[in-house]
Amino acid sequence: MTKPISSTNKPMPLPLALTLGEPAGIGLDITLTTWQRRTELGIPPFYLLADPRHLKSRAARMSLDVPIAPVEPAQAGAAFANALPVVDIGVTATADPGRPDASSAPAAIAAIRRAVADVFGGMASAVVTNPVAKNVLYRSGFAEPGHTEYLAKLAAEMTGATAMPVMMLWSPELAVVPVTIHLPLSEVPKRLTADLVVDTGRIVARDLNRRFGIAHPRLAVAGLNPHAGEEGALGEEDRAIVAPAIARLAAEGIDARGPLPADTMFHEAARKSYDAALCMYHDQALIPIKTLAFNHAVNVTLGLPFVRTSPDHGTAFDIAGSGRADPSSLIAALKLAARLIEK
Amino acid sequence: MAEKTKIAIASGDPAGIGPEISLKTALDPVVRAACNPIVVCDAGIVARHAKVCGIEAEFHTVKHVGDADWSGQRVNVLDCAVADAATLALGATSAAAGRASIACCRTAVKAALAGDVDAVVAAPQNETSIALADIKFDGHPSFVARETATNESGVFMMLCVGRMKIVHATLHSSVREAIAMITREKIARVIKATDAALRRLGIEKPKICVSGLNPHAGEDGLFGSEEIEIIKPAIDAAIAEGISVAGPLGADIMFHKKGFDAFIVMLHDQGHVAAKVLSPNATAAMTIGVPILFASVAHGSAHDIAGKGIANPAAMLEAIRQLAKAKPGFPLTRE
Repeated sequence: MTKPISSTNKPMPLPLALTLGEPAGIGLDITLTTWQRRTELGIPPFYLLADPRHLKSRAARMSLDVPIAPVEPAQAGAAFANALPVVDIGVTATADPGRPDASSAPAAIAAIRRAVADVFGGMASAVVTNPVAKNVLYRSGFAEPGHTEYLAKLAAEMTGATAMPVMMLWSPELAVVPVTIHLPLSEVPKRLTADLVVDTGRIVARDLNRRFGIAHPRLAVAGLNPHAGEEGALGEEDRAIVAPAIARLAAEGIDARGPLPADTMFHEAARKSYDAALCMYHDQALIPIKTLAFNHAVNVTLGLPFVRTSPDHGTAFDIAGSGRADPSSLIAALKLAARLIEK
Repeated sequence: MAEKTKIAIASGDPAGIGPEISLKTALDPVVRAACNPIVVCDAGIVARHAKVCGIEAEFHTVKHVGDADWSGQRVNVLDCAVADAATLALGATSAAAGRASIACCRTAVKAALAGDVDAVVAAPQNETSIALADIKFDGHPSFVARETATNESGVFMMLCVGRMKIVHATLHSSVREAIAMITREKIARVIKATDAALRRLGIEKPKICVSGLNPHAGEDGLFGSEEIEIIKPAIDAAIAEGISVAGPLGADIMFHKKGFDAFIVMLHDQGHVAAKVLSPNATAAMTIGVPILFASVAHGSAHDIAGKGIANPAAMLEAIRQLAKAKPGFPLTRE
């Protein structure tokens, strides 16, 4: 195989592997419009893992003049300037925009598997994933709770070591980590343990250091209850679970503060005092970041043996194929992935 | 020209910044153009604050709202005489301050119940002073519920941030307790209280949006069933009664939806986190579900800067801005 042509002896950096996501969703739409803005926005080279014919038909449907280059990963970096490089996942996708079909789940899963394999095979620098539809995957018999858990399973298959994936939502304004994620709220007080908070805090501190290059990461930890439980008057969990977990993290030398009342953690002055906020449940984390960075927050998975980012939105079936999907979050995800692998 | 809305400003803890921000608010030209404010305070205390803060004001002290006179630049004070007023130390908590604070608030609420004023804005209380006075107080919503003989289970807090209004179905309860409190009856009550409050504030056809309790409002039952079993049926029942209400929507995306006059959330943090990100200072909290219009400011009595003249009245101005739209003489409604 020929080496990529380069004007210097420096090897071209590896491209990012971008998955198709749900074929009927907006993943293809935003991939096409993101590539169109590659020069203007300085988007790092990536290749899409998809069915090239399906991609071409979406581009035609949206009347997008995007040259599409079916390639192997090794050629993607060089091809990126002049065409959208697409690596064939070997599964035929047939879903129309907004209408997932029987090809949806196999295509989405094949792209994820291939992206992880490419990263471990030294063909790609990081995994960036387009949104999938959990319900569609579940109906096909997919047994993992979600995208992130599946990536962790694939990583474990590749390395033989289990990994605890931790979801962080990142934006230039704020980074938040929900310690519990897609659980019914009634399950949260039952599943919240000091071990979970400690394990999460360790991974966040380690990856903020290792991936984000922050020498001494500072963590702010929210209480579960209003006013962080107000000394037990508004719930026991903050004294019994969260506070001891923070003490354990601090004893390990991690700069962790709390439990803090969530409502006073997120104004501008408070945000300057930490690098990431650990929240106890989904809405506590998602409300502030969606308020501050509605369309450009990025979902970053910490704790994996590779860099994985993803746009912070769903498949948006209602606008797929219409050209109205906003690529801002995917663009931010690609840029952040490129930044994280440099470290 | 229709008569202006009359608003009583309960001046809060006399040792904190309450009298100062009340005074600044009553003197504000925008406030005076929008409504007729009357400060409820011990006349000597408000004069002392004016002096130490360097605020020039011509006071008109009255015993009854009916004697007030809003001509010129005068500041009307509904005198709420306090024992020990002359010796009360600014910046210090005390039983006397706690008693005075509660007395002002009670007087203002009574004036509203009697129809002498159209609405009440309350400056911050100090819970330590109130506790020293041996008075039961656990926040303005409960206080106003008791003072107006309203069942507390139908009383809610509505945060006002600019044009956004956020109503809390549960407030100062642990997450476990809050979940247990979410019933169809509770949701029905909070929707009705919100609709009534918005109408009182001059919105003819209020549009309301309700959040879920669970992530993504349960995502069709994947992450919890309260939306399917409780919240949605309550919304449907309210719609059947003619109230315009949508949801449940995931609380994280809901606040970006356009066209709603108020959002109802299930938990303290769902609403307070959004409100304080959007506006850390200028937030007013209305108590709704009671027969009077009542708002307080969402900050404390700031004893550390009392009497220095540097207190920011932004939250109280915001509260007045909200209430000034209330229709004067609008009939009181009781469930």
